[in-house]
Amino acid sequence: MPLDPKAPGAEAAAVEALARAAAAGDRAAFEPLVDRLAPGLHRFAARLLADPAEAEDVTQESFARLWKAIAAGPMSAPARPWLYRTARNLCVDRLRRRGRWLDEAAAPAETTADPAPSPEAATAAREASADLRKAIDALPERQRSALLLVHVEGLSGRETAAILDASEEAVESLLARARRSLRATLSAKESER
Amino acid sequence: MKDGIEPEIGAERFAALLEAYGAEPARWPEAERAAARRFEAAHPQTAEPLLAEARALDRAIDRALQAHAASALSPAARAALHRDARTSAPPPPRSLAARLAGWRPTEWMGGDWRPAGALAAALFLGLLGGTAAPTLVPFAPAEAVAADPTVEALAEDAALYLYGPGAALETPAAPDQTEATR
Repeated sequence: MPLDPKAPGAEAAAVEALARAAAAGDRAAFEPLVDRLAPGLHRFAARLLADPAEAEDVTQESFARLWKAIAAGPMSAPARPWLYRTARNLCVDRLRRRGRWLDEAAAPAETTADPAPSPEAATAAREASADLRKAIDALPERQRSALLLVHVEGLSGRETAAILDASEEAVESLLARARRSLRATLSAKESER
Repeated sequence: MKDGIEPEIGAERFAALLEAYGAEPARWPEAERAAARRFEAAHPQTAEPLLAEARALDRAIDRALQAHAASALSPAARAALHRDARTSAPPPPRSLAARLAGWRPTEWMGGDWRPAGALAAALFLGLLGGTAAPTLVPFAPAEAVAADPTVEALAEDAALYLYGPGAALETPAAPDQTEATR
């Protein structure tokens, strides 16, 4: 996972420094912004859309809007949450057009690579991961977005609140509900076995 | 937080933090992180079971989401993003030598310099012609034209043609000729 536990907030600070430099006309700051933000942004969009190719379009469109915002003058919000918010809105639009707002998105091909001590344990672990992945994809969009942004992308509760247009307390509630739901899924599957 | 000092948190708040953010302190809200770590150190019997449960769910989520790594940006998409970034960046500043080498009067004068230049040239030529006119265009006075023998001969030819041979052009005789006939 991209989260760096030793430097919480450091990535956000580095991104904001680059965004300020870009807004000041420093052309050397533009491509590093792509390097730092594009992989996570694409990962987030791919998970929301369950479609890596469509997520590339969303990533490209989000960056095109970021460049326009930077060219227009000082940005009204920090660049990282601004970009994720733009990408999420684009994803939500696409999901609505698909008619899959509360979708059960197709799970990507399984690529779990954790070594397991025995074939039985490996099979059980793969099944548990597949079940949990389906449970994540079945979460309501706001719970899923909050979980992906905080757990996978390492954004803070405050940044996630800005992206979801919610309070930090509301984000905490979304996260707690998402995790309770996933824990219930795991418990149910374990009791079946 | 008051005066820069984080308030202490209790077991209930510690459990709520883990319920929402999981076991990794980097995900906890910055304003409560230090207090949560202090609670963890001060109450290990309460904190450890909660942390173990949250850690197990974190790992399960991580395993379930490992498919993200397989759906990384394609090289073509990455190249397109970099190309867009380069074209969106402001152009590099030109050196003084490059600016001088590329200098054109039109840049300095602006795009609509031709009409203004033509007007200035016309004004200059007009002034030049006006000041130099007395020497350049010597119009002769009327007396000098009348005394010119060439002009007088042309007038006689015209009278002969118009009125015939009898119509001699009456011109005053020269003083010296009058004196000779007397």
